[in-house]
Amino acid sequence: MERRGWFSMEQFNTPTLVLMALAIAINIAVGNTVQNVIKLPIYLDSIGTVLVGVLAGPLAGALTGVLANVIWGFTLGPTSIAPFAITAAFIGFLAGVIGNRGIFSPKRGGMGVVWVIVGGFLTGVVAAIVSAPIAYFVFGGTTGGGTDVLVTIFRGITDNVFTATLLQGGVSDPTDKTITFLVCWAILLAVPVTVKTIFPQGEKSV
Amino acid sequence: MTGPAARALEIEQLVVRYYGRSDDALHDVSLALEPGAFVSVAGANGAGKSTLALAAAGLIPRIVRAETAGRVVIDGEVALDRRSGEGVGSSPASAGRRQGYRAGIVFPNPANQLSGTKTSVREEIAFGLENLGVPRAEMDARIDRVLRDLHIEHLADRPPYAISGGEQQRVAIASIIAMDLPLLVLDEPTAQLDPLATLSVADHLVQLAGEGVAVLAAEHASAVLARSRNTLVLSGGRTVSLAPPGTALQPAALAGTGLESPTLVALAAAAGLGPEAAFDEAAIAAALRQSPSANADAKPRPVADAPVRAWQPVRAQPPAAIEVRGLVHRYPTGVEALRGIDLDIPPGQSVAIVGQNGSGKTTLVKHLNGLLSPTAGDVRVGGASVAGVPVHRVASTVGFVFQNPDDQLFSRSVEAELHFGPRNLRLPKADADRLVEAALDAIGLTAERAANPYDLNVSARKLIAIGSVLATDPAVLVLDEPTTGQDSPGIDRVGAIADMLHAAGRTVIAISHDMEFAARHFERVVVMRLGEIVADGPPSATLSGSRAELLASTGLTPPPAARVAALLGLDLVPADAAQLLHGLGTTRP
Amino acid sequence: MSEAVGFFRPGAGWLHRLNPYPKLLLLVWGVLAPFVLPVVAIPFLIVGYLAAGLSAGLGRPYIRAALIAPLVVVLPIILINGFFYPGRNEVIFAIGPLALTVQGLVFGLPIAGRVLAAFGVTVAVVMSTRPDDLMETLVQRGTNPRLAFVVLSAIQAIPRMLDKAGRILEAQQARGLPASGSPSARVRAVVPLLGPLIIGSLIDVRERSLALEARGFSSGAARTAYRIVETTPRDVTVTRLALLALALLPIVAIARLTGALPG
Repeated sequence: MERRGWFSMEQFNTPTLVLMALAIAINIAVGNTVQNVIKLPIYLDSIGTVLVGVLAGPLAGALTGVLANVIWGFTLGPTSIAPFAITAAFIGFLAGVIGNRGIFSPKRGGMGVVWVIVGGFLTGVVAAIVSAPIAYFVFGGTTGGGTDVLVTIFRGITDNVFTATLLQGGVSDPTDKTITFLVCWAILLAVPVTVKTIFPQGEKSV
Repeated sequence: MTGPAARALEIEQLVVRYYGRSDDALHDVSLALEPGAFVSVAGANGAGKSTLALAAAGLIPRIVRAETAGRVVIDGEVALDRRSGEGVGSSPASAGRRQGYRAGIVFPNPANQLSGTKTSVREEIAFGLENLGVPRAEMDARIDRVLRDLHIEHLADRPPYAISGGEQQRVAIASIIAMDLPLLVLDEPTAQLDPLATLSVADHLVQLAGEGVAVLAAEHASAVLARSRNTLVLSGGRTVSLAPPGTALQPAALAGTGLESPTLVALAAAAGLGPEAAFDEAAIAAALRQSPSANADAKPRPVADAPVRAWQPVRAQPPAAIEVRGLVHRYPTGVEALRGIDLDIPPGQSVAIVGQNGSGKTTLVKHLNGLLSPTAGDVRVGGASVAGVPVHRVASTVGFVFQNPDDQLFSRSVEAELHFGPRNLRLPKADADRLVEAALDAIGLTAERAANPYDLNVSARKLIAIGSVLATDPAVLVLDEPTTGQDSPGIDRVGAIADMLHAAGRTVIAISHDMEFAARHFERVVVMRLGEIVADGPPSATLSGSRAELLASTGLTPPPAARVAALLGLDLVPADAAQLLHGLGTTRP
Repeated sequence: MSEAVGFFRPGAGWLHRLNPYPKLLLLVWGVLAPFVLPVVAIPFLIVGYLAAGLSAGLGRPYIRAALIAPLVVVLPIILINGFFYPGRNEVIFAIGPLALTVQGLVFGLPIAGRVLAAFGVTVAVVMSTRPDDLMETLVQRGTNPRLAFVVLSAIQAIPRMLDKAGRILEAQQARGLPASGSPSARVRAVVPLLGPLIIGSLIDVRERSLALEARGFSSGAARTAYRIVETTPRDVTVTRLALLALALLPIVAIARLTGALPG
């Protein structure tokens, strides 16, 4: 079995391309279900991106993240989420790197879940750090979402808009990404081996 | 034009074994197709039909990895050549990257055939032409030709996802024909289609063969099998026979394969007819009328692997009568799907609801558990109106199984999935465990309780979905199209479950296209057309040959055995060959 | 059943008739310009973009999407920065404990303006451009067709995935799942609602990939195109002007950073 680098173009076989398109739609449908149907205070709208990263590889995950944000922004809107494509790229890339370690495999058992949580948390922290300058420079620290309440609170606490933005992301992103990773793990458990292995990195999750 | 170079498909002693499996998916299978030949492949699930389809289309081993041996040549181009003697070995998946576009393939799920990138049927058909680098100037002529040949010109500017499943399959076939491929391979193309669409596809395949395309179709539907020139019967990956369908599908020839003989073929065999008349209802009727040796001893066909245990109710469910009065339903789009339905279903009745797509069957039953609310009229279950009651609460009385199991299953094991329903209803653990055991037994998957549902085939998954609702011990069981996409053992098992619950005094309601299924397992049949009930009564009154015209107006036909009975002047509605013969035996002097 | 998402509406205005490539260039310029040009230019850009959209016949839907919809993003920028800007600030007026400050507005208004401008130009372009035409143009200019495939099939997959999610919700509710109510009930609804959506999609990938392969998707042959997107002389002129305008942006940026240009 060849060693596939993180940046190898082999990640983009036909099943990966098909999955990328579906993953972008999954992001939107999941975001809609979680926010509007179940009405939970999380987003989970990068679960498709994470899925592609884990099954197909870091580059595929990163590209999925970028396309998901751009397409979502330019079709359903609002367009203002498009700049966060950079964040989404990081999320997809990290999911691919973490998935490559085999953490999503059922064989890892209990320790696997711990690593999934750690991986999700770290990804969330990185997402917050990457998002903060975007939110600051492009939007003055707000995004028009519910987390603007947090922004207001943090503005009262710290004396600096940038720090407040960073804190706001630092609360919501790691939580959201940890839960995303966990849900992804739980669902991958029920996916048959024959389906996972058609993807370039799928064997790592078997 | 003879000789091997002219053949559309040559398969010699093909062996295929998927990685990690201990047995061959196909062993020593040989087949040859001339241009213009229409050959069907029959076999129970797991017999190797899909594998043969993939190999015939050149996708094994080029795309689908497997260990292979033997030789496959498609339109003169070698797709696989590993004669035994070199030993079974794996082939590199990237070999022959630029070859292999000599055969097209169509799969069971219509929506999966579409590229997903085009906004009109015309452009969808162009997709394959674009990929092959066909000059733009030639494309329109080719597209127009296939639109005409497959009678889909009226769909040319429609979005591919806005048309029906049957139409999508025709577009899929058209896309492949437009590529001027000499071989068309189909893997259960009519599995998801209703009887009318199935007939239309079957006729088109005959037409294509007539135009010189070689057609290889793996199928369960007798409409398709009947029209093929030859049928290859597979069992356990091995060839059982290759002969005209009238011969290959006779009951005696199918012994041990797990396959059911189509009703008409069984009747023809019993009447002593030759294979050419195996699907000819008039000839069968004539032979049965004259032949004094009609099989009077034929017993009603035993239902394969019927559940042994009767259903032991666990929850105390008061009898739930269903009363529908003046039910009108108008969708937000303005479509009036139900135009005033009056229906009374007493507790414990088994009812089949039939009618073509769009007649309102699903809309009607969705009112029974509160998924839809009436625009006008009233729906009561157990005396209480269900409109406005949250769906998950009605679920404790009305168990509703949707058509697509893949819209429902998510657990790691069959057993865990069956616990989903009882857990939602907060049943006590002892009750839940007992019900799950009973449901496992009823669906016949006790041995696979720890298996991952998605590792099993779609028939099993449909049964698992039914099982998870069975395990809630509902007063009313509603099944939406439980037979579509099922193989015949699966259909039998669904029927056995319906019989079992009926015997336990529960109400069973099923929507189905399968007239034999309706005739065999239900005491009442409701026929719908365009949002209204047009016939309502026992199968003998609603599905008999004398009702053929009414049924045709809503896209249905009486079961084949009933059509033969009608030709014999009998007013029976036998569900299958055995029932008809038995009925004949008892009515003969 | 919904068929398409996106803002695109058929039309006959000048924007509709413009080739997607110059439109894309104009879009990029239109989004970057409010950031690069001096702050005083922002209101003119906003008015300019809105005028362009209206003159192209995009009508009421354009106003809705470009002016009203962004308010949910733009208003918080103005209000939160206006009322909650850290530090000691000059107060313009106060409502109880909330005080609107000059510094807050100086920080927030330009940002709000840039966002509004970005909406104005992107909605105008997106409303007048078919995704297929855009991707076809890009492919003709060298974009990888496989990338175009992903974009176009994602766009079509969105309404179908939303429909599927709706069907799953119905099916699971029919099996007794309460998708509302107590927090624990809602948490327990996550896997039953998302599981089938994701697993079902993964299962479809194999069949869809094989169907694509059978239609020559990886044939390696030089791809031809059915859909013809025209390039008129006007398109060529606009493309050149747009490229020139884009080239000017870095110059203006440097001028502002080095102080040669105020604002």
